[in-house]
Amino acid sequence: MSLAEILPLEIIDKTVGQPMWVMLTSHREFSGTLIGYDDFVNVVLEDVVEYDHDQEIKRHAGKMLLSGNNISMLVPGGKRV
Amino acid sequence: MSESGKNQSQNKRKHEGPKREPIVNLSKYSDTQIRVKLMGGRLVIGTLKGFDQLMNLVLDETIEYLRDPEDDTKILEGQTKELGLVVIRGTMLLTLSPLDGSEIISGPSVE
Amino acid sequence: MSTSESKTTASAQFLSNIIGQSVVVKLHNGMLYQGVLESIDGFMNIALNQATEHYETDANGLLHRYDGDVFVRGTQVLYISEA
Repeated sequence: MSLAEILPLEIIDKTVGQPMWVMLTSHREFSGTLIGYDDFVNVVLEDVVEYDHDQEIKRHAGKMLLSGNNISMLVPGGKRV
Repeated sequence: MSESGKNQSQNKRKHEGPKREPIVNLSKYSDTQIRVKLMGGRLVIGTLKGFDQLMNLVLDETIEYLRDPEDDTKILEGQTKELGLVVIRGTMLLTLSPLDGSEIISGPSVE
Repeated sequence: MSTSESKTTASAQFLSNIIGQSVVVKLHNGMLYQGVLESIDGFMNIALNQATEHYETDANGLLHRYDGDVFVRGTQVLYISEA
């Protein structure tokens, strides 16, 4: 009876244009506006803050292509600090 | 050791292409709490809201268990991070299990 | 990432837009390269010109300056970002 109500990629698609928090397999995280993504879930973000162990380590004013290779989780709404 | 003679029909099907059906039907965990381990050591618990063929997951009310910064394999008890609605990449999924019927035990310390 | 698709993806679009621009590239091991993007392919193999090398952030000091080209293996690329 219970089908997959929400498709994961649908969530990502609905977040385009909005803040997205991206976590890698390591302790690294990125938070920025989601510009787009592709089939491999490589992700394009804008105005990104890069974190490691929750410490801000770098800000990126422009767009960034983040390799999907090491992305483990995506959280719509951006990083809550 | 070789089962080629015995399982000819099965082998044949294998060569025709991959089976689409997953070995575990995730829909039975819909709207229940599951525990997910990810490559690299992250551990999260959340309510399963959706998934796809590639085992990408949608979890709600997700909680990530924080780890000892000195030792990634050590979970810090009681230290969690509330993530809310998250998408988990199927490519990074290590283990998935229902929370119900399992508990975190204070196991013997590994010497 | 395949650029052969008829529908151009956000990533492919981004890549074609930043050729010739100043970019930063970070690898999985934390090395950071800043330079002019000469070219990039679908594997994220990258060729930079006039690159500088830092660890994690340029605030950590200059490690090396490359006057010619630097080739970066795509499998090791964490991100490529507009500088």
